[in-house]
Amino acid sequence: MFTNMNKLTLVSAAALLGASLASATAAEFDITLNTAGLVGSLNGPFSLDFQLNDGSGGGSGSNSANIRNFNFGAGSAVGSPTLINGATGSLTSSIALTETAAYNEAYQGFTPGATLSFHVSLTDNAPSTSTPDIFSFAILDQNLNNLPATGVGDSIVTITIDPTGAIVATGYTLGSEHVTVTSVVPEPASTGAVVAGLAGLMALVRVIRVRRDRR
Amino acid sequence: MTQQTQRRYAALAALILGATGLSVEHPCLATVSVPAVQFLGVAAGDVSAIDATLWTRVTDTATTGPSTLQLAIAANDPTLTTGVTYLTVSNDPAADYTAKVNVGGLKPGTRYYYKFIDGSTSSIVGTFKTAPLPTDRVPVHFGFSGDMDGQMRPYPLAKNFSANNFDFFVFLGDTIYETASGAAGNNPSAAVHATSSGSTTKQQIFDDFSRKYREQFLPVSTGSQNSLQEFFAAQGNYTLLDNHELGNKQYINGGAAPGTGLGLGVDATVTANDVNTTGHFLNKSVGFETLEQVYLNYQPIKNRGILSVPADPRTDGTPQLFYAQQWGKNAIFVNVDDRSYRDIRMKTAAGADDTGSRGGNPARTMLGATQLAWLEQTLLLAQQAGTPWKIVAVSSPIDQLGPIGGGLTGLYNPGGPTYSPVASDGGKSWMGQYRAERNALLKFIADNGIKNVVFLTTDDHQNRVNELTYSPTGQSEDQSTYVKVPTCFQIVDGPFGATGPDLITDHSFANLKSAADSLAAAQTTAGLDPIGLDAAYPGLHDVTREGDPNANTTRQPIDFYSPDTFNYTVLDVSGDGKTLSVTVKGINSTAINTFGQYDSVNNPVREILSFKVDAAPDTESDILSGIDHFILVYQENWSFDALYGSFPGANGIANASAVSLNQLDRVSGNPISSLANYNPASRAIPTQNPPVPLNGSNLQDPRFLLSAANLNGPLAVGLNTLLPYDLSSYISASDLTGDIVHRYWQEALQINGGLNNMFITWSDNPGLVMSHFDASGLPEGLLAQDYVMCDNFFHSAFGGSFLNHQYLVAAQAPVYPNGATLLSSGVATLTPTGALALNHPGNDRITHDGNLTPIGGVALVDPSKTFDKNYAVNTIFTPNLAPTSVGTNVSASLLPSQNDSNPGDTSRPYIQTIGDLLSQANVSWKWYSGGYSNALLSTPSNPANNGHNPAVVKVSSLFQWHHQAFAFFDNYAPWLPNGQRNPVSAAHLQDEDVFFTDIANGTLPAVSFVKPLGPDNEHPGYASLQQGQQHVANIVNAVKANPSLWAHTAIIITYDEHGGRWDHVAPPVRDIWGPGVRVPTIVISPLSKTHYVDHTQYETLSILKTIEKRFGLPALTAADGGAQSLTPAFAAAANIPAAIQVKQGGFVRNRKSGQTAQTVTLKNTSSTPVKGPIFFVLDGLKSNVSLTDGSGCTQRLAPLGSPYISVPLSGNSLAPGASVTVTLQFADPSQGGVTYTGRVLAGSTAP
Repeated sequence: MFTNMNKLTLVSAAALLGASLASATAAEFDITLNTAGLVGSLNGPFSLDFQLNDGSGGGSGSNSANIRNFNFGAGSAVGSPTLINGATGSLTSSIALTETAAYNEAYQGFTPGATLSFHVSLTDNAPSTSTPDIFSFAILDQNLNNLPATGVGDSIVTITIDPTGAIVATGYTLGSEHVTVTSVVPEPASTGAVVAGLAGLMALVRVIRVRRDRR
Repeated sequence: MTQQTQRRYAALAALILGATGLSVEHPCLATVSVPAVQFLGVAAGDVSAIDATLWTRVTDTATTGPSTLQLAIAANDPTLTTGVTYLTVSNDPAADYTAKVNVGGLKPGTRYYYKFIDGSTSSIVGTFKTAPLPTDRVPVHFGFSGDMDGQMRPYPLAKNFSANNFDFFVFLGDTIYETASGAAGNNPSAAVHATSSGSTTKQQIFDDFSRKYREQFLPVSTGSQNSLQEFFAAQGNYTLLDNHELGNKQYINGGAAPGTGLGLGVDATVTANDVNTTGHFLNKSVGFETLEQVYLNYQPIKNRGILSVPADPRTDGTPQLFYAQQWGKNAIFVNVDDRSYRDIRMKTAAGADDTGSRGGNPARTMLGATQLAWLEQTLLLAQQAGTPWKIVAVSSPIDQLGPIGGGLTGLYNPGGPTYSPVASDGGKSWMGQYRAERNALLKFIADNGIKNVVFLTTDDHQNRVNELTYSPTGQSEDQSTYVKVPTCFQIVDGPFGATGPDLITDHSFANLKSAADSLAAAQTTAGLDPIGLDAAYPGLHDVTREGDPNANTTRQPIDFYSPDTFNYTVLDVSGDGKTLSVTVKGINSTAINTFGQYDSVNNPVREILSFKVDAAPDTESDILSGIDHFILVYQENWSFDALYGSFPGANGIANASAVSLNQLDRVSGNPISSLANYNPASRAIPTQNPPVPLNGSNLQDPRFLLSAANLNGPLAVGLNTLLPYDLSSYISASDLTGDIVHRYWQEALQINGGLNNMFITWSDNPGLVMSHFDASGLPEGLLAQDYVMCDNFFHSAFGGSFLNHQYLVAAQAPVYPNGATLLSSGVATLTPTGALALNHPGNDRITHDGNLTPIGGVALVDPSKTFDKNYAVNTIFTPNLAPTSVGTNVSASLLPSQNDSNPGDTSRPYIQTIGDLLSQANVSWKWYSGGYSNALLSTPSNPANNGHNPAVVKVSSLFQWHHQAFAFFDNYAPWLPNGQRNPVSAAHLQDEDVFFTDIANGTLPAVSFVKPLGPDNEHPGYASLQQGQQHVANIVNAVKANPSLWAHTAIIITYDEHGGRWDHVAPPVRDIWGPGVRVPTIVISPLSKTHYVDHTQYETLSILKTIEKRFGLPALTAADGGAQSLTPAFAAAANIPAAIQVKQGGFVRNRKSGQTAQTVTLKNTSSTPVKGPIFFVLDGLKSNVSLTDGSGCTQRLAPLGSPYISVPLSGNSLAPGASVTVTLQFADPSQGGVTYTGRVLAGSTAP
């Protein structure tokens, strides 16, 4: 967990380091959400949706993501996954996404608990186009529609790999369900190339409160 | 023993003995004289991109004759060990042992080091930097100052001068002072002989002034600073001549009358001498020439030869000291000679400068007519070429300090009673005694929109920055008419070391501020603009002033004023050319003849003041900067009304005046409609009135008759060919019609001074003249509706394809030297007013039409002018690519090859083409012509055909040989004189097939001229309008099929001329050549406006002007230089992408909406607000993908253009550093992914 001061420092460091890093082996993130608001919601059952989409609009195959270590709090994974293009695996073990097409997506049902956490490993190969590659995470409702969120395309977390090789991870908030991303934590091995930020007042407040709780 | 061998021994001896400059006895040799070789210093100057003038002075006690020297020079190596080139040079005893060499073959934009070597003795190492290529956008870093009075030696400012690392330095005159003599303790230096005594000899002047220059390199005491030696070695200089080099007496007025006696001149109090009309000038007197020669001996000034201007005797026969040097793309340095040609410095009876009404005499000159015209043209061309900063160095201040003819009074005196504040414009200054010429120069700058002109001056022994004012009405004596010259200012700098500032010993900010405030207040009281740059000066920022912490927020006179320092000014043009930084560096002045060395502790060089100015943008160049490819499709023979007289929103037939609709008879002057019969004998061929259109066989066209079976019968019911009529009632756009005469004199006569009412009567097919289609729904018309239709565009030269094609490539008429003799039948017969002569009395037919102008013949459009040459104005062919109809390539009926290859060829005028300019600027270009490959095989000009037509002629009969405009010129003749294929021609003139290949391969050049083959060119007599229009649409589609090419391409479609058809709009008058009738022009580009009818007045040369503006080329002639570019057809501020950084996010699919979402953030990275509205345009969006929404913004879809969004702004601009993020939504039903090329537009016009 990083302090507010650390976060600012990291942002600054990334601005300096990003341009010089054309490629890195992998970026690691622990992502934690407060999903208490989904428990018992009439919009359920819910699904988790992961995408890794190619900035070139084709399927460069340049980057891949591995999502694992799912912890559903008191909840669990449900059913079987839907895997589109370069997606394999399931929530019970891990999901792998590879940029074999413009869109690469996996979604699968889950029963929410108070929190949800998982780990993302993302390769860091700079795309050749001005449009970044992007990993995104969203939560779908019973009709497989995105719950409204403040991220692009109703995503809750995005991690972009921009043409300089810099990685920017951002957490957003879900609207009506009061789900917040409590942390998007880059692991030390990759902090040099990574910026993690949280957008939305709710998210920031929540992070600060969690931290205070731990003191 | 050679001299060199002698020196080697001598050097050895010197080494052994540890002494130089001695005579010694050598045990083995006879007496050896050890030479004392001594270099005075080194200097470099007048550096261009490829050459430099290097200087030294060396003396050798072993000889009074010349010494042979080695010049060692190397790029980038100050140690002169790597890549050194050695050149042999010699000094010149007659030039006081100075040596000067011009070194060529240098690399542009490169720092060089050099030294001279005499035997074993080397000079110090000097350095200079060559100018970058004119196309290189690079920073410029230079300095300037002037006024180096020996009484201030050794010039502490010069110490460590190389640390400035200047690209160059402008040494702005008064490089010596003849007065720095005779003073006690002045390292003793005898006084010079008076240059105005009448008895001083040439040799005395030579010796005295040579000594003054030498002293500038010498220390004032043993071991101390070598005065200016470091300064001269530190960089290349550009040097100006001023009054002290000329002795500061009568010789300072090079253009004044010499009078009698050496240096006496004429009486400056006598008004008859105010303007020298004697035909004799001081600049050719022995005294002036001697002083000038000593100056040239001692300064690193290039020998530019002697001017030959017989029409300007003041200038004729003088050494050329004025010149301009382009320094990369961002700046041009202009060096002005304000001493050689100026009229006398006028005096009152009391001996004071007379700056009263005599100073406003409009006939007085400072520069001379030749130099003034050159200066104006140089500035204009620089503006036209897109050079943002024009730096003009002239010794005499050009600003206004005091009231006209008077002085400011009551000023605070910062130096006490011994100091006299500069409070008036003296007898040497522009405002003092050369006001009218000054006004003309500044008016020229303002009138021509020449921006960012910075004058560098000196002479006043103070530093000040000032805006310039002038009288736009030319009333230079009426202060109330004065206004500011936009984006123009002057920096007076200096002295580098001279008297004046030394009398101000109180260097406190308060003391200096009082002086500046007092001066500014007095100026305001006198109705003058006070010193300094106004707070509102466009683009002014970052103002600093020593002692004034608030200079940037509260600007005041002292922020631009330093009267108490020795100083020089540093100027930096930013790499993007947008900003000029000015920094004045200096030290506190010191007293005369105190010989102070540089004191880095108590009086260090420091920044006195500084400021930055952003260049006023060259809007045209900036808007066009996004266009990397121009494609001109040159179609044939339709007037605007004949195709688009009903185009939506255009100035069409409905607006025709009654006068232009009432076509008159050329003989009687009566309306043709009033004539009982249309007399075929007197005019043309028709048999009826109204006349029946003729077909290609000159027979009445049955399609327009009531009955096709009755070829003599009446016109179809309702058809009146004397008024505009729609062809589509009789024929389709896929049919051919007959052709109509369209020649040089006929068209000018048809226009009839803008009445446009003689079209029918001067035509050979009068029944067809008023006909038109509505092409709005044809392929080009549809494109025009989506992009830009120009409805006020005129073809550039009267007449037909030949002359207009020549104008398209060369902006002038070609010349047939001695044509009247060699092709006498080609010379037209004209009336005394310049019209085609008629057989009258007689049959009133044209007496003799021709393709050459008669020498001395009157120009119809301007009877005050006559033709000075046999210009080719109607169709004629070239021996370089002779048509098969000629059968030989040596016929006198062919126009001699036009000379764009040899400026020195006096037998043929030198006429450059746009191709030549593009090639010189390394801008790629091609002329693509349909059928060209077969034409090369078939022409009798092909050496393989031995001057005859080949057995099998492969070329299309509709290939038009006179359309191949470049082939008429030496440089692009397909074959060389030796019979070999001309590689330059082969590289640039190619078949239209290659055009499509180049598009597909992404190898299209920057400029493409496309000339379709006859069937595709819309020529009404032999080509189908429909087919030609579709051909153009195919070209557009081919370009659009390559999205990366299309994104930066502008396609311009126009017609070479009107084809003899009527149009209702009166053409403007440019000169005796045109322009002619209005023709359609369509601009198609993702960077152009859309759904737009452009009413701006253009002509064919506007296309050249556009290309010239985009690529920074000079104009070919005054005609294209004066043309309006097509910039208004393009979206405003297309340069904004440079200021706005676009950051796109990744694509995320939303399962709920089924759409793909993407964020786009636009950030203003510039220091100024970007004015809205701002549009984000998606060029080349992948097929099957559509932009469905832009969250938070207004989004529109142009029917056939690129989709775009309107970016939401708070207010109407995007502030510096501010950003705005929008989310785009795409429908991507096939889920194949989204691709597009983003583009930002800002300004007032939607894409």
